[in-house]
Amino acid sequence: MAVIADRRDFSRDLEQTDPGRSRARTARGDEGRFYLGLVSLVALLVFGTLAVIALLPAVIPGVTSASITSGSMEPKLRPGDVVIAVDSGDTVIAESTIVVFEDPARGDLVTHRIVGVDADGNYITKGDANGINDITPVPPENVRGVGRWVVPYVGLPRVWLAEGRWLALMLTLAATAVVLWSVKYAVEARYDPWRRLDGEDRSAGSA
Amino acid sequence: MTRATTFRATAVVGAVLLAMLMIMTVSRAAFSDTTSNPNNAWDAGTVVLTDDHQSPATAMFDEGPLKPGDSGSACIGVIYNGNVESDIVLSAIDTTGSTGLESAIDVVIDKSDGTTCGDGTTTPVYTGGLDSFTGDAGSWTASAAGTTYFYNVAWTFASTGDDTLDNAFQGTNATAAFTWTATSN
Repeated sequence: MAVIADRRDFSRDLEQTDPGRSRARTARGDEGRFYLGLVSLVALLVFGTLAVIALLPAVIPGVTSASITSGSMEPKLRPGDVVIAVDSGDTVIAESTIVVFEDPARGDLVTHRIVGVDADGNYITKGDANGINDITPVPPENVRGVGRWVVPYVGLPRVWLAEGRWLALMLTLAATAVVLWSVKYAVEARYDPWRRLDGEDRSAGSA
Repeated sequence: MTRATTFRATAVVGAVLLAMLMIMTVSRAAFSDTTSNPNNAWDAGTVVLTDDHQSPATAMFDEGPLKPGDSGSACIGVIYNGNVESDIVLSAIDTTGSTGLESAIDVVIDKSDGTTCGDGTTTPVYTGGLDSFTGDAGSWTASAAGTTYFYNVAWTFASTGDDTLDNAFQGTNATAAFTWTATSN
């Protein structure tokens, strides 16, 4: 019964190809190749989406993205996370809110938690994992925004680069190369393991 | 729709949904729990600085009564207890609470990377008035817990060379708080 069902399913293929070289089913390797491509496609899309969302604030006014490079906010935020912060305007930000601000002492972006307000109305900030408050109070105009979303992992290559972790970087690069190389097996029609064989008429005929 | 197209469409929709889900899950964990006690998280990646005059906390100096020309010195070890690479500097000398003598005290501060002050390589940190600290001459970098530098603080109650001016310091005192700061790189 099964044989008959098979014949009917692929009757069209059989009609059009040499019955002796009939390929009602494609080689198993073709299917494996397709699934490898599919995994690459998923990996590419997951990290691509994360990267696009992490970079989106660059073109949206009032939104800032800040890369976490140290463990000062562990365990809430880890190195490699990207925090997306939204400008809260002139409102006073509540204590224990995580904010992204320009460090008045060094000028770079810092993501820490507000732990108080000093007499001049400047925010006192602190990293969750730090033993003491940040030395320099943060004037409200230095606050770029209130943390809203965390995009995980996308900042890791930058952290590794800064820390000189070349092995991790090389592995990431190699994995990226494999993904980019193999994604074609999932998207290009000529690698489709279930492609209709009439698409291969030419190669079958010339062989 | 062919079988391959079904797979492709599922992969695309699934991957984008997965990325969104990751962002939402991590964000919720990071931002919704605003009542967390911020002091308890001593996890990986910390920058912790201590000195060898802690527990019980004791001052480097408790000098007096002093007269112009007196001098002395003390050695304090500054210990880095974090585990991420950080720059450490003497960031402040706070003389709040002093009643005048602070302007007559000159200090020479240097640091050594050996086992005590003067041991190993010694480099200058600051030379000048106790109340006019302008900043550390150079930071040191630590990435492993336990890295210690020894700071030698030598002080002099300098005479102004004018007895009348020197007399004005009688009965005054100076207090100073030395602050070291570690900032992760």
